[in-house]
Amino acid sequence: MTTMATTEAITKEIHVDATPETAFKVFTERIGEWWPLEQFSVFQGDTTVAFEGDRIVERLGDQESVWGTVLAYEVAGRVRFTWHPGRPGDDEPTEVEVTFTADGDGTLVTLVHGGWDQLSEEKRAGRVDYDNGWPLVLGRYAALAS
Amino acid sequence: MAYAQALQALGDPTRRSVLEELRDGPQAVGEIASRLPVSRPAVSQHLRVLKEAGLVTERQDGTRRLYRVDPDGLAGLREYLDGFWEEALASFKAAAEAEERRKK
Repeated sequence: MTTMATTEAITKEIHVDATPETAFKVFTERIGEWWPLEQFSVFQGDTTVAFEGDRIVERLGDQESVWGTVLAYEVAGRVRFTWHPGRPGDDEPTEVEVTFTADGDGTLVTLVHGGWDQLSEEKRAGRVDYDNGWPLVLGRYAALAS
Repeated sequence: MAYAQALQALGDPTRRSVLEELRDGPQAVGEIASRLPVSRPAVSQHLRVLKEAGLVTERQDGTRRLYRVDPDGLAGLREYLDGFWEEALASFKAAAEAEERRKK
């Protein structure tokens, strides 16, 4: 069965030739500069994304879409946030944790996107409006798999 | 890629509702339509699109035609998600390393 596989956390590791301080700063404060918005955004067009206080917010003109809420923020160490792009009012989102660990002269960045199996039956039965397809995939597809 | 068609299929909110109705097991068109504010022919049409996108399979059970979620289709979406994070992190790496070089 694929059920188990589809509810496991997704884990990605990447080595970055930069200090944990720099890596953390670029990940959080400058997400709008590297996030592939042209392919992965809620709005279409000239859109932006940024950590604003404890929220991750995409903006296009006067439109805004909250992608997640920061749960932990340890400078040069880790950032953890809820993850529900395209579903601003989601009360049971999946979660993403990114850790920054010194690795030689650089940093090992580990991203874990989990919480797929935490979605309650009530939630899974709910009707949530998505702006388009990819946020569904990012935040919710596995709810269909059990 | 298959996921592109799946994503397109999932772009419609009603179609997502139809798919979510199948979460708890195989069902016939009438059963799905009875729980959604959508006509039976409309549900049939959505199921056809979901089937073409590889997200749903159908089988005949006596006189009834039952639809169910296709786990393989969902696995394809997971691959897509996996690739998404890979691409996002590669872009992040380039930005972080450029910043590090700038500082030196």
